[in-house]
Amino acid sequence: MRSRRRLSLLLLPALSASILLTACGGGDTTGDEFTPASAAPIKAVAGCENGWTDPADRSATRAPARCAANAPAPEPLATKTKLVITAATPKAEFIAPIRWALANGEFEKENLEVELRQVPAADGLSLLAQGETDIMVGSPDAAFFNAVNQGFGLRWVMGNFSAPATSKTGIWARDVDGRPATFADLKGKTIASVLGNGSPTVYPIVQQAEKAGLTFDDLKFQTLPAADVVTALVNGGVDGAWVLDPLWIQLVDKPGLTYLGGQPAGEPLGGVLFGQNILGEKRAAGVAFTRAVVRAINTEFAADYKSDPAFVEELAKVVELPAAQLTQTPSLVTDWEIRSGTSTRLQDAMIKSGALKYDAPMDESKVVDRSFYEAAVGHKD
Amino acid sequence: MTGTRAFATEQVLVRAPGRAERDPTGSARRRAVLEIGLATGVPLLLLGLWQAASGLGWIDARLYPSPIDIVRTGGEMLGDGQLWGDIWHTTARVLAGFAIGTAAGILFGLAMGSVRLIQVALEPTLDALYVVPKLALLPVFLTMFGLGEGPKIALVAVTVFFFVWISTMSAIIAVEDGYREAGRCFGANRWQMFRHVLVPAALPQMFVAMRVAAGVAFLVIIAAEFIVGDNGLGYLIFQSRTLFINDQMFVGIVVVAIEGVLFAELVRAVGRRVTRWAPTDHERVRS
Repeated sequence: MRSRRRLSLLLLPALSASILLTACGGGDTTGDEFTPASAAPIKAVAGCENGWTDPADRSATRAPARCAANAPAPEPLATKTKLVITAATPKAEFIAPIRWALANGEFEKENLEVELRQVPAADGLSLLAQGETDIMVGSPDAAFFNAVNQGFGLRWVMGNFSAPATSKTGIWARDVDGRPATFADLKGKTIASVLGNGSPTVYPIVQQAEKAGLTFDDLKFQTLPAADVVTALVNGGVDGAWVLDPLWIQLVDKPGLTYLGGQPAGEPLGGVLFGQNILGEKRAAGVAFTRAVVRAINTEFAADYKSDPAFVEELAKVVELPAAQLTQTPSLVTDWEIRSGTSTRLQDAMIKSGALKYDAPMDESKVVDRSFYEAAVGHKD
Repeated sequence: MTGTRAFATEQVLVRAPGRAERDPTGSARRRAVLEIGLATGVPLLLLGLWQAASGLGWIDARLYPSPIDIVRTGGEMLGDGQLWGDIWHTTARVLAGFAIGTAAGILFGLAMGSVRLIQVALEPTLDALYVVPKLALLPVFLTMFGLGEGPKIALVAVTVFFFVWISTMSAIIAVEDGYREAGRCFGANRWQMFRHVLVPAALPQMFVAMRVAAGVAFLVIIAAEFIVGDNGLGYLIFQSRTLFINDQMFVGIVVVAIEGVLFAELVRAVGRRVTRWAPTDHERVRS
């Protein structure tokens, strides 16, 4: 009995030590390169003859790619395929085309069974990276780039929208000495934001800071809950704030505040991310999913979709937001394409903000995959 | 080994002394070795399993970094000064909030435990406030104190206050009549009774409450730093998670765990020194 106890005592540390030693020699998977499955040949799609634009065109006046209404036509998969999507905020306008497609059977026409789940962005990306889910609706943020850099099979496959010219979502600042604020006035000042230094919003912030002769380090950021951002700005708790849709509406006629700019015109900074499942064995389902979303955009979200009150009522039910809230802001310019170089500019800004764990932007081919929407609209370079 | 033998014919019970009774010093030493072995062996075994699982690919090392990687990353973060700032901010908030909350909790607990009318006046209100989730008060404190350190310190203070207040009050109320009787026999006046009888009798339980509150203070500050601010260990954990830098996130978690244990042990050590008459945890368990 005693000798057995003594043996156990000796064994515990010895076993631990041996495991430690064994483990030290174990392999490290960090940094493994992910290779997506090769895409099927692209064939022409009726109604989508003008369903693409030159990715290098970043002009503010560029019209987004559009097909005819109800195009591209469904091409049901041979077997029903289930896809699990996550979104941090399903009750939001930018996700409307996907929720519309879900509510109106566009995915069923492709023989897809789509399940949308609400999951915080960080957890959603982790699940996507592990292959527990298939698609994430959000943005290529620092977490996405860091995950790709660590070898996870993830790609940014579709854009979402460009900000309409009349939108005032972006940086607002308190006026200085009775004159309208400029970005240079924010040097050393505190800027409130819901989103941290890893959000795509750092790209326009860095862009504007550099135009004003500042660097990202000249600005101080304070993370606050969405509801408190506007309050802090109005009360003088902070000097500037990145204000989201539709909160900026409250600031438009407020004296003492100036809008300094937001998302670059004609350049979507968010959209859809595919994980290893779709980039691998479920590739056809990924194309079918993209086709359904593109069809929903062409059919219902091609232009100023909020000009029709009846549609707004229907949309409000689909995205579970009050119709009055939807009509407060202009229609988004829905845009499924990804501009050339956006991923590099995003990474560049995030490196400057200290959000990325590496020092030089990864090549676009490692983070962006346009082949899904190219297949959906039948575009060949 | 202790043994008994019954002799049926004579009805005599013979008890042989056990090993612990024949060699009490050796027995105590073996017991100590066993306890130290278990205390160090079990965590080592768990760490070893974790390291093995990560190193051998049973779990994805990118999502669950190995202990060695966590230590390595922590070392790098300490080296470049990044981690010290976060440790300092969190520790300062916990210490400030703990000091305020403990002082207020002791004050209210002593007053309410000693004076029935004060207890009757304040207990319903404090009971109602006690059940409010403390994190829900953060927006209120943000409005009251602005964006600085105030809201976070206040949140820790309020959390600690309730633990200390309830324990102090109940400890004072629960002081045995025999102690009070003895004080009265020695002619103690009200202050002397309070100073020499009630407080010494209640102090051990107050320190137990402070130890629990010390751990909870870390839980609360980490949650608050998740929500508001741009520094501290909670921010480090949340931000690393948001940026998918998992090794840094685990460094934050490990540092919080170590800090929490160290702070609780510090409170225990102070308590042991201040309340020498109280039995230690080990003595309580063995008795």
